[in-house]
Amino acid sequence: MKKIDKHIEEQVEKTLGAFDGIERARPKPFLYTRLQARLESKDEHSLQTRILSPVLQRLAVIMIMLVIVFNIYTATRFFISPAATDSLSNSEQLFVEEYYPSTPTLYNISQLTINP
Amino acid sequence: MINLKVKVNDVMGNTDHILVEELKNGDEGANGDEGAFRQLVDDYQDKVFNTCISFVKNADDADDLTQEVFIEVFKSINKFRSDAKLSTWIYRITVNKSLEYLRKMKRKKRSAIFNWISKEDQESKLQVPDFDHPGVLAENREKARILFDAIEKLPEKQKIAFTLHKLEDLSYEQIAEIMQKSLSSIESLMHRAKNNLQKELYDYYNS
Repeated sequence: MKKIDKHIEEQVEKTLGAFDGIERARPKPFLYTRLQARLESKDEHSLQTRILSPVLQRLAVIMIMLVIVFNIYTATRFFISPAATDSLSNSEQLFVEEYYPSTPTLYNISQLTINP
Repeated sequence: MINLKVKVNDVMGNTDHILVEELKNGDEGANGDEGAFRQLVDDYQDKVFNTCISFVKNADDADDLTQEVFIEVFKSINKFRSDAKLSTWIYRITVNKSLEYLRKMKRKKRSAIFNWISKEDQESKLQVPDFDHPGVLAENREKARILFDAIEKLPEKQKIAFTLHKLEDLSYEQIAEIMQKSLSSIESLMHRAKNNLQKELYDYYNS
């Protein structure tokens, strides 16, 4: 029994000393080149996120603002009292006539009420 | 006898000091100087890789982590205090990155249990194969494999201290600086690590 214990103890000691004489593991060659490529791709990615996305965000805001302004402009300019249309130029009047006609068309005839 | 020798500096080595200053005041602004960075990578790549592979036990992952360590060094060189040792700082980043990786793998392993769809795929990635450290002497390979398995079962802090001491040949003082602990607590960690390993190995050979 004691002999077995001693053998196990020896094995344990030998195993604990298994790192004796160990040499440092080295990375694959050209680590710096691989690192540089990775840094460049990260730089590009961060450039895209840092510069491009704020630019896109601003562009989107500007576009939305332009659409809102255009809508407000068209609404106030053309969808007001008929007297206001007197001061419009010929082309503007043609535009109003086409999109906001004074006489009913086929499209809005169903909306008319028939007086008995 | 271990034949690794790590440069021990009481203050930051002169070469390291020049490198850090060059990186901080590099011509490329905040990104530092490329020549200095290349020098830093050349000087520390073996230390970083050897530490990573000792923790993660996979050459490809260690290579990947080594690159991440240097990217972190490159990005945060301006946060490095010049009165500290560069090697200590780099080792700290390396240990943290390696532990982060191991935690991530553990989380994946846990989620894999509940993941029915990609179960086989995830398990195949997580099984740690019998690891042969490339620097182990041929006659010690089998025993080193058993020792690596036993180290894996140690509590995290004991594992860090034992790995840095045995595989990177760092002194207790250096380990204390890296782990930001007192010398006596590192001595205690090492003592407990050896006891736990002895117990683990005794059980292994007794079974």
